[in-house]
Amino acid sequence: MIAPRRRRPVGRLAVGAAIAAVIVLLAMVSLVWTPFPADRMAISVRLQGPSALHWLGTDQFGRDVLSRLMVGARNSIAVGLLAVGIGLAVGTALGTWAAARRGWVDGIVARLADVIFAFPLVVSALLASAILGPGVVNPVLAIGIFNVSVFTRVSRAAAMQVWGLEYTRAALAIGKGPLRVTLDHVLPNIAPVLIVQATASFAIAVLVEAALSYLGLSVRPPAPSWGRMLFDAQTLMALAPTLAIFPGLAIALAVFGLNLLGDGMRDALDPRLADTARREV
Amino acid sequence: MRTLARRIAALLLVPALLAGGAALAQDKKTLTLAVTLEPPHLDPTAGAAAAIDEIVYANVFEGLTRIDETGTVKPQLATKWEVSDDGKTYTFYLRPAAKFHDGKALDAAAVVFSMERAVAADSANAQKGLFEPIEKIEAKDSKTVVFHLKRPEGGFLFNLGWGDMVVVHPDTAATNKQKPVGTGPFKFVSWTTGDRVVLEKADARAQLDRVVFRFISDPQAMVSELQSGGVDAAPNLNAPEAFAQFRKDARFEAIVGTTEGETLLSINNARKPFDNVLVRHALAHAIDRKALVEAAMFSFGTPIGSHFAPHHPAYVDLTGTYPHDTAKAKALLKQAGAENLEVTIKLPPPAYARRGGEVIAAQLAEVGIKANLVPVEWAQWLDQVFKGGDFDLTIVSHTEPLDIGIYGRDKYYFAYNSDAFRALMTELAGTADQARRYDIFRKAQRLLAEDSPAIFLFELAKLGVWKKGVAGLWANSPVQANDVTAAYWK
Amino acid sequence: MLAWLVRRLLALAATLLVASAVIFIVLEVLPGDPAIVMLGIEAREDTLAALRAELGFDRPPLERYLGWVAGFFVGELGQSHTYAVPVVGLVTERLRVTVPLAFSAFALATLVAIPLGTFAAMRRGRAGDWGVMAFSQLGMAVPNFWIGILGILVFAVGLGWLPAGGFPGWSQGAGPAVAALVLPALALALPEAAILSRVTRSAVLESLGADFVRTARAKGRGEGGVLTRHVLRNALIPMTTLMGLQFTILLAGSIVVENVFSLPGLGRLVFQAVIQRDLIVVRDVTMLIVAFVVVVNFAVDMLYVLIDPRPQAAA
Repeated sequence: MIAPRRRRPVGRLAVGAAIAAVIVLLAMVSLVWTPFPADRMAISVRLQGPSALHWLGTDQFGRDVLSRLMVGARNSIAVGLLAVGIGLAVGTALGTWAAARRGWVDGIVARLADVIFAFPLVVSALLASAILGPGVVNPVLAIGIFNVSVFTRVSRAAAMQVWGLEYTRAALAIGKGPLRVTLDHVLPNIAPVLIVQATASFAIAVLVEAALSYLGLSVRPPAPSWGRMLFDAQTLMALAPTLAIFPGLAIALAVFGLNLLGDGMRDALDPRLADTARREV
Repeated sequence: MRTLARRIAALLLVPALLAGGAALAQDKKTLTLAVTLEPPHLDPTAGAAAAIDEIVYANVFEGLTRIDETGTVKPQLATKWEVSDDGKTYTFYLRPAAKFHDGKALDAAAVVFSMERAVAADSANAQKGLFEPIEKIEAKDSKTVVFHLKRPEGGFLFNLGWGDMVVVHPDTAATNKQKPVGTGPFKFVSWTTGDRVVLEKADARAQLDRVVFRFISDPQAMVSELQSGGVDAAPNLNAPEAFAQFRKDARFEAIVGTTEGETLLSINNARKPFDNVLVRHALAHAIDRKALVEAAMFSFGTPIGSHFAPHHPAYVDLTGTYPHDTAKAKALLKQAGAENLEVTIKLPPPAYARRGGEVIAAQLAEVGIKANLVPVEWAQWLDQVFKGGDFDLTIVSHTEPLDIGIYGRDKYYFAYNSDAFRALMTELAGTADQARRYDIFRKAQRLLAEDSPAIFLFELAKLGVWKKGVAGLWANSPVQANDVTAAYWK
Repeated sequence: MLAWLVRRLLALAATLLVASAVIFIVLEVLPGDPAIVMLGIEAREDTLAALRAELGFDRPPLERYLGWVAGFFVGELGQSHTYAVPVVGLVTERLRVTVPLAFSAFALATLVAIPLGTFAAMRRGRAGDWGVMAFSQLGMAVPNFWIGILGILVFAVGLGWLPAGGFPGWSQGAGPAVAALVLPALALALPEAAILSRVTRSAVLESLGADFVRTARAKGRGEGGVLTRHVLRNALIPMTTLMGLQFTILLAGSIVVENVFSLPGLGRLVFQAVIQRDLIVVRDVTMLIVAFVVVVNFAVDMLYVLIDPRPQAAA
């Protein structure tokens, strides 16, 4: 394959990292300070457009939209971290194990990943909600389990390559066990692949969480979440159209930033990697 | 490349052009109404869901009496009746021409069957309690039915007008859930789940040929369907925020009517610390009703101070009993030893509950109460809260007419056990004189305000929107129904 | 070839079997008593018993599972608790919305993405390419339901050209029904078009550089002929994989988008079944969706072999 020439990989990396950093920063700031208390209602100023006082306007209860977006970012980030963390930990363990052991282990792990892939993310989140009711645990569980299969496949394929290299065989020959080799040689080698995949998966997690909270299956009110803010905005569009715009922009910006970051890192770390499947909403 | 681009452009344009022609020429014999909730089935004698009555009441099924737009009792299947002097025997004379949609005659046997089925031990009737005063029903002849009551019951004729009391035929009783067969001016044609129920003219009393009820749960979609002409009427627009724009629009009639919906912050009186009247008073002081109505209902709704409809002649204005006073509320909580209270509020789907819940949570936070909001669907609400009594607080509108008696019921979900209140209700049941009945109603309202077994929030408004030219729809809802028997296009 | 096909079919059956067991266990075994899930923890014992009897929850789980699986083969699914009608009828009714929606979104995404991706590849590094790639990056970032909401904002609330939601049914003629599906289809199609155009671009770029294209060019074939006969044909392989994947993504995406527009489709059916705890509908519809995903993936593998018989040797 001829590697397509990349346009300014560093540029993409920088822009993506900057966007992601700003969002994380806003979420962290919201822990100690928001322009207004995110839950404070003020009916007299409700459904206002952007102004000097309320930069992004107010919602149907007169709550400050910017403050709620900042607090909502925490929710998206937490779901993303947990869901990617679960996938990364369990999936990498399974994938590297399958690559080290081959044979029946490999077969079972591959089948398991197949089964998980048969469940679209929204469907598994619905299954979780059917039993658990609405709650933030639904997207974490659904995306986390999906990510297990993603990271299993990615780490298995990458680990297989590493196992094919001379020096891993040499390490085995000098008496290192498969676990040692995996820890010492395989993991460090596949780390770049995993980091790139983690970024892409994070973006997917943000999108899916937004969809689920839009459907009312994620966090419960009055805790703000980007998806739920869009849901609430829908009946108020004739009165306050900006309510339907800013939360969507926040989601799009976060995903855009994470995607750029992922692409940029892939170019920087390992230009040979193919496009990863990146969306599953 | 260029031809391909042109083809894509054409593809994108075709639907847009089709949409332009979407506003169908309206025939004046069909009326399409939007309703929010899809009923679980269509048998009003086998379920509490108001969504059933909203389709079949008076249109498909009829009772001996009916309740009209003003809340008055009118003859329906019974053209006239006689009441004995002791108030314990009612004789009803049935409409001679009345027959079911499948051609079977409506006779006294069907009436007896319907009532006995409703009181039977395994009956699924949601208002079994209404039948409780009935001792015996007999068919005197094929068109005459006699009810013997255990005791005089002041509201008996009104109660017979409820959707739960309609008359069904023994042959079709079991299948009414899916294929209702009644005696009304409209007969059932089809039900597309998730979409619509279609009714058709059954006899000359109907002024329209066809009535379509469409289920549109999303308020924005309902607004849009009205504007695009997809529906002709939304008798209960569930989007108060959008109502103002219809008032300004010359193509529509937008009418604010009254309902019998007392909206409450219901309290589980059996659960600590709500068994303490001081805590309940603290809650009452913590709520700013005016702000609540403004925020949650866009100012459509009337604050109430007890469980009674403000448009009723026996209404007493008790809204001043517990003025909004956060300091007082905090003091009461302290006095009751219930500081740092954390409560759960279960919220059924309507906007008054979901939006109202967010406002109330914020108002409770002002007095130091942390409220966790739990959205639930109607099925769970009915089961957990209404039947199971598993709740701290919940927001719900009690839409039955003159339903103050619920506070006297045994094992009702509030768990308000007041002998004083029950004594009032017993007195009411034995009283036929109107002035004295009203007096009892007033006493009952004051007692409820004093005890605060629930926090009385506001009376729901009925926001009706329909196209100019539609006539005969109800402006008010004395019962939850969309009676289209008198509806027509001007 | 035959052995490979048999192996693939066996894997397909195994995946379906395990997936169905997962659904069954999650919905009917893990919660302990499914009747309690449906009615709530405080439900009265007599109501619970009635429901258990109605839905057969009083039988042992294995027997119920086998009965359920057997039902799929004879086209008999369960009975919806909410609607008290067979699930099969509900599903076929709802497919009248979901199938046209998913197909038109799929067609739209493909019709937009393949020309765009090809165009970008031909103009690599130039403004056109840059524009397409920017569209692609943006399209991948916006959630489909937000596109739906924005569409309502502009075309329904603002301009009043299209309905904001609801579905008039096909009985009123095709016009209103199609109008009701325009915005939802666009909302579904746009993000998918973004991904597909990106993949098309890299696939076309790759085959543009391949030897046989150079050969064809050297033979003096016209640029158009080279493009259609050689470049696109070769690029079809990665694109087919993605399009198969996308078809299932569209089906899942319609769950969200149908709710944005209150469309009575399969997605709304399963969503409402979840919030109303109608476990029978949830169970049957999720299984249908999962089966669809698995079968489409299988079909894509088959197609792959038809287009390019090489992978089977590697498999």
